Amino acid sequence: MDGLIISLISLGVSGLFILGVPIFLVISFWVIGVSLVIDFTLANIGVTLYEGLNFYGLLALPLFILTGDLINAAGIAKRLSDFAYACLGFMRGGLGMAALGACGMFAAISGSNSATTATIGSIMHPEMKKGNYDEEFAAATVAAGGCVGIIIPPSIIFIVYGFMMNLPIGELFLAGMIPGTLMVVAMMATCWFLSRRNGWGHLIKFSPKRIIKTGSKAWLGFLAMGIVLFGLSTGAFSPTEAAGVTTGFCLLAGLLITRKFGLKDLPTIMMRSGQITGMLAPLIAVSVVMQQVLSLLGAKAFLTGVITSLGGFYPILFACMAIVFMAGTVLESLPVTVILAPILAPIAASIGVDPIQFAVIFLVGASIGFITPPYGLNLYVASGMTGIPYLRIVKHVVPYLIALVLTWFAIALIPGISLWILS
Amino acid sequence: MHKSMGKAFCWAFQHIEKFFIIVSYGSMTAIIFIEVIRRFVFNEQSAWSTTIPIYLFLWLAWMGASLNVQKRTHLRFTEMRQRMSYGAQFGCLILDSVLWFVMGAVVIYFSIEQVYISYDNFSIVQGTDDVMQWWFYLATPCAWALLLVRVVQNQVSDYQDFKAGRPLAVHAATFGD
Repeated sequence: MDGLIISLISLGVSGLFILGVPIFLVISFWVIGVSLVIDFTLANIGVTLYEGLNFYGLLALPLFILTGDLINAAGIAKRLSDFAYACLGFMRGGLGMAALGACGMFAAISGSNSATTATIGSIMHPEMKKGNYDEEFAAATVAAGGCVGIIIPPSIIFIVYGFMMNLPIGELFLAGMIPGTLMVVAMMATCWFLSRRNGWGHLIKFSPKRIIKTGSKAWLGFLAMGIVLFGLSTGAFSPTEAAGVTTGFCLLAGLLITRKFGLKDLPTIMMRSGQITGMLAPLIAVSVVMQQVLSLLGAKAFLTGVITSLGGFYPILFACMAIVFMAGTVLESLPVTVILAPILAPIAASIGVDPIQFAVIFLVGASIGFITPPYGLNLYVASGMTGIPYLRIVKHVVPYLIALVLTWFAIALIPGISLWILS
Repeated sequence: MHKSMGKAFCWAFQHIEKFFIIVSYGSMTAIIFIEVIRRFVFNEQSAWSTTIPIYLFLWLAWMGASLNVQKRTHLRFTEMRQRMSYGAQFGCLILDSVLWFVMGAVVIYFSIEQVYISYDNFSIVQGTDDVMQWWFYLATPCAWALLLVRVVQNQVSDYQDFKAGRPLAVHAATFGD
């Protein structure tokens, strides 16, 4: 009987999702409904809304979000984009590839997907439009490029995964470097192929002088990347401290070096970051409660039973990947991670997948969810930023989706892609 | 005099989340940044530098949640709602408000209990002598109470839009709008 009621509750909240109710409420009402059915105290919600956020490592989340906004306000993101264009503009599709490269570089300082899409998109989408690209394709390019925001370190989602699964966040960051770069390369190849076929974009002359000039202007961006990398690879500071130092550095760079903003602009910048934090942090807290309720329901044992009954290494690994992919189509990456990681990671470990490698597999899958309909956050960000209807961007993002899925399989099948850097 | 004071109060009330976000965000970032520099340069670090920021994060997170309600920027799937009839869209906005209220009642009731337990036990923030935990735990019920006020304000505005036949707020808003 309980099972039937829980199924009806799940169906009901799915209806709420389709009706456009905020995802935070959708998850919350599932938690409240199921808690009442299984007689689990609602007081747990009161406790977990504190405890779910009570982790020092999680502070890197607001700090890296703020870093992203500061890089943009300081004009560093624009300089990185100019440098990427100088390097790639001589090829067909060079501007699109530069947008993807700029996403990769921005991701190496910030740690947020939507921030990457919004920042690089606001700089590169108008340029691509002027540069004779299809504007829907240009929007799809920046939406897809944003996916690497959470894979190339530093990454907010790696922090949450490390927190949930008790894995060293520094090692997770390093393990994400090559897979993130590979994702950028795969998307660049897709952009090159499509631009060549459709004759999009103008070519600029390959000029080492221009590369050096734009590269030297982007030195603040490279230094910020260097600070993060140095801190994490040497263990000089924790990911949270790395986030704090990078934030402080970008703040000082904007105030004193590029002088693109003043002290009076800081509240506006902080409000924007605060808004994103206020959207993601409550989702983490409520997803922790959902995960607890799922444990009580025996979801872990059930799912483990179903997946392991498939037998064999590859069927089990691919089943785990399929679940992450499907969840990513309807949920944001944070709830996907908080809810599914504690269930799927032990299954993967039981078939001998290294926990760090599985973290990368899991999170690359979750990051692809940012451009998978019906719910693809980057597609919404790109749509809101460009004014192009959501579904028209979806149509153009499919080639990137295919490229990312192929890369994902390569990451899953070749452990060295994730683990080589750690050895 | 009374009019201008009333105006000032209304302005302050409309921006109360912003005040808390800027103070908590600024202090949290400053503490972490300064303490790392102190550790590198002077080889010293305050014990509370790893605990106070966590509690400040509570204020930031929940006041941010309230701000997102005010600006209607919480993550949601908007494709279906945008295609609905005008009346159905208004119905969905009422549904949102009802759900926020139910959730708000649950959160406020049980989080006040947590604040009281912490207050009653004189719980002190680790690494400090006299900073009480309940000052920070208060973030959840306070922010949720404010969030419910924003829900009411939005609902009033939606009702006025509906009566006047103006477009309703059913589109996905981008951050920083």
